[in-house]
Amino acid sequence: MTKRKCRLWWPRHLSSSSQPHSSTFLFGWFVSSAPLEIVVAFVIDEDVFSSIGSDLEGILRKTHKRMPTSLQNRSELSLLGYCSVDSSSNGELHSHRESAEESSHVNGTPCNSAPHTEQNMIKDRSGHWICGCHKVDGFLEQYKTCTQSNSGQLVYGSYVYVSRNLGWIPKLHHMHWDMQVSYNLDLHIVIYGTPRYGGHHFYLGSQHSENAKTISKKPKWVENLSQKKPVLDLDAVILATNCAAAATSFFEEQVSPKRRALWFHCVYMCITIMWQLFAVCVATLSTSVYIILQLLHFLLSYGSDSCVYPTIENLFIRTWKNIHVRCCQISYWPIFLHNNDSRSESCVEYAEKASLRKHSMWLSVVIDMLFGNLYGLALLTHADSVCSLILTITSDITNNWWLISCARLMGNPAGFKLNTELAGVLGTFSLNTIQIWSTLWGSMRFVFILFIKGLAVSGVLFGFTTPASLTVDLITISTTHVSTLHWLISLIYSRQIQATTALWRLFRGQKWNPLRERLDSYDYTVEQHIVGSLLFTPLLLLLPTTSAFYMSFTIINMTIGFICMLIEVAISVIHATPYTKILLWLLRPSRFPSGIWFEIFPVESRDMEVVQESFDSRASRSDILVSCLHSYTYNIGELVGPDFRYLQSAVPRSSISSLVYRVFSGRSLPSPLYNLPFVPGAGLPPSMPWMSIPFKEYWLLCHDAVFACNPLHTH
Amino acid sequence: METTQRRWRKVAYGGMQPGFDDNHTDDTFLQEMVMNANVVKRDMLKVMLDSVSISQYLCIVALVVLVWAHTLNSTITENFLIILDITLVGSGFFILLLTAKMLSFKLLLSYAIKISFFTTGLYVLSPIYHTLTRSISSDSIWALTTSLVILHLFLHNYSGSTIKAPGALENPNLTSNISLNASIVASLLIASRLPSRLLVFAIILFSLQVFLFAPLVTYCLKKYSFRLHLMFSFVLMAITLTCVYRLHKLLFVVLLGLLVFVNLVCPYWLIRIQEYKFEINGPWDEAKLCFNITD
Repeated sequence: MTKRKCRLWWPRHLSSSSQPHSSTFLFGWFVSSAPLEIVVAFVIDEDVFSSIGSDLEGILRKTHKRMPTSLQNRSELSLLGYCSVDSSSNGELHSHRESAEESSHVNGTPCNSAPHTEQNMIKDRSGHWICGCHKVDGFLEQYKTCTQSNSGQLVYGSYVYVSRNLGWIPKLHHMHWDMQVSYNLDLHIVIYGTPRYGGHHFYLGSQHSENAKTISKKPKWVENLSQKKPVLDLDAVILATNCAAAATSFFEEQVSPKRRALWFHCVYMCITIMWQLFAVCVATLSTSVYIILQLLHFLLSYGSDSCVYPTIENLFIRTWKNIHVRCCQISYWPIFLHNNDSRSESCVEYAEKASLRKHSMWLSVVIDMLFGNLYGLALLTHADSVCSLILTITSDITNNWWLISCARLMGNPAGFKLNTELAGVLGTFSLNTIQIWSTLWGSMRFVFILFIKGLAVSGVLFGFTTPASLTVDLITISTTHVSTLHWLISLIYSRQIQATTALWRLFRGQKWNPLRERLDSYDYTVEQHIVGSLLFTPLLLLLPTTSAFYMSFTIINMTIGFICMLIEVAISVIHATPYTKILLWLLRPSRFPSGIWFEIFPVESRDMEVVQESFDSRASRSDILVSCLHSYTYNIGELVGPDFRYLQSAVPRSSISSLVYRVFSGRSLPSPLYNLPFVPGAGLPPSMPWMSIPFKEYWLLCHDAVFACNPLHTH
Repeated sequence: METTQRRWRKVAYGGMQPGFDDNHTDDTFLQEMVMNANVVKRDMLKVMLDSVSISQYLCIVALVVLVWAHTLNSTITENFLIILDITLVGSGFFILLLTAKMLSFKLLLSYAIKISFFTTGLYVLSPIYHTLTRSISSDSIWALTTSLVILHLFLHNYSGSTIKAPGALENPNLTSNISLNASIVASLLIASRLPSRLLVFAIILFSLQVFLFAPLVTYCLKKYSFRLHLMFSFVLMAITLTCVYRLHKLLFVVLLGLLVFVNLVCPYWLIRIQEYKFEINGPWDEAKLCFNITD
């Protein structure tokens, strides 16, 4: 007889420190893989079992239908087996060979000894092999007649005492599997704490999903080569453990609906009424905000025909996007909150993930509004001083720094040999541009205080990100002259560089082949050489002048761009931070498991020795290993890491050398933030349609969503 | 000793010959060797006469540098320069008409058109050249110019002419192009030091005319009559030496020494070391085409 490996997953709350007083039937899932996995969800006593009677199959089926689909496909909730308690002894294993011989008759004693030789197997009336577990068969007859499924898969065991902290756990003696009986079982008992919502749950870790992403770039046949059948199918087992609590409660609901005490009902009613009131308040408030938003949208849609609307939209592009996102968040939060799928009722892991998704949106809006209110109030109280400070700084920068630097460029800055005429032309042009622009903006000085106040009010109303994006837009608009000048000078500079390099290649007798992207040798005529050298000298000698201007404008432009980029990154970080996750992680880190590990306990071997003496030669012993399932939790870096991974993709890695090359060759710099998804983590797809449901429906939606969050509402 | 051993035959086919190695050579190996097949036997007088053309070009370049120096010193005025330019163009055309054999009206017309384009372009660009190097110190300009002129002399193609005479087959190679570019850039650098735009235009025109057309003119002259060529060279050398003497004594000594070196010392040296020349040619050499491939 071959040794059969099996692993029993036993809930910790079922292993009591005192001896169990009645034998129990085990219910759970069989997951058939290389070692057979037996996941025990709950147990019921013999008397409860007999009282259920023929309803058992129906109840089991209903419970099974409420499990998640992936678990339903993988394994069915069924009766696993029988675990007896030995009342004659104090629970230690010892040989029962004598009682085994006695049990050759039909009315046997409970079978709890490990080896059964084949002589003890007798046939019953219908010709099936049965072992000495006859008492059990009495109960099982009912079960077998009810179920159409093959009830040949059962395990039998008894409770043994392992140690003080582990208590009494079942030890399997033999199992019936596909009309065969296996006695030699290599048993591994894993004790797990039943996952509950709000407590802990188990999760295998996400390494395999990441591997799948990298493999998907290869063709299919390569994938099939590297795919091996996994040795351990722990996915289904962990899913089953996460669903164990739900299975228990569903079963118990149907078996015996709870009757609660009267005082419990009163408290329940009070809390329900209070929650209703709260839901009504929140729904009313958010519906009024929704009405205002719809009104504004209606008014704006009239103005979209004129040409002012797209101009404003293009100028204030970031603010526009931000306000759109904020309005969508305000409109859609009840939908996200209301989102309940049936599978989150049964599996703790799915329930936790669903709750994170549900609460993420409104929490981020609330936190953003909080920051915005703080910022807005602070700015309102100090509006005057901020206004004068900003005006002083800008006029200081323009007059004392930039104009003077332009004037210095027309001289001989830092010993550069600049051509006076060309420097004069470029410098005068840029000086005039700067003067005109700053005069224009200076005349709007009295409007500036109003603008600061508007910024503060928008912070109060819309949250912190809106004034930040307004600031970025305004900086971009007010420095348009810088970017225009930079664009012009970079055009001149890049053309000059390209012409000089082309003429240099001419002197070497080579030509650039743009089709093949390589240098070809080419015979130029004498006239081409003459004209080439006549043009080469002035281009080369005017290059220092152009490059001096280009460098100074590039530095200014890049500084402004850098400041804008910092603010934009801050905005996207505020949008992307998972506040729910962080808050829950701070309160209870066990809700975020990242992997599992087994703690192995040594089993006292004196049970084994006693059994070994009484073995006869044909039987062999079965090995047992006891361990306990624990989970790792994430630290804060791993927790929020995936949400910020988009930042890595926005800044390309090889950019430093290519950036330097682009600057020196005069090409335009890549703007990394055009690739940045504007609201990466808030769970919104890039283009959300404007919500246009009737107000009454919206009120009902809000009310239902908030009421569903009632803590007593859960099953 | 094997009597059946065949004699070894030098054939290009047939494979291995039995009894001999694959790389067997017999005593007839070196019979077809030819020594010094392409070596021209030189005569001292001939070499000296040939070196006159080198010293002629040297004097032409020296004259150009003289004109530059005088213009920078404001000894020469603009009008003089412009008259000089026109004279040079006229005389060049005249000599070409007299001496060239395959000269057609069409070719002359194409030359005239090119020259007019060229002159117009120079006139338009001369304000740019006028202020090009104003911020660079004079020492850098003199150093750069000197090195460029030396580079030009070093890489110049003394055997032909840059602008192709009608009927010439040679393509300009890289070194002759580089020398041309060096001379043009040197003249531009010098021109940017001058005080007025018209001077700039005139000096560039003058330098370019000389550098581009002087080889062609002297080539045509040489082909027409060798005696005329010799006379012209000696007259040129005398004028150059006189003018340089008037300008700077040291430079005169240098130029004189250079001319003597080129005309007298180098031929003697060449003849002396000619006897050590040992060239081996044989059937083992690469095959060379003895005809030109033309389309």
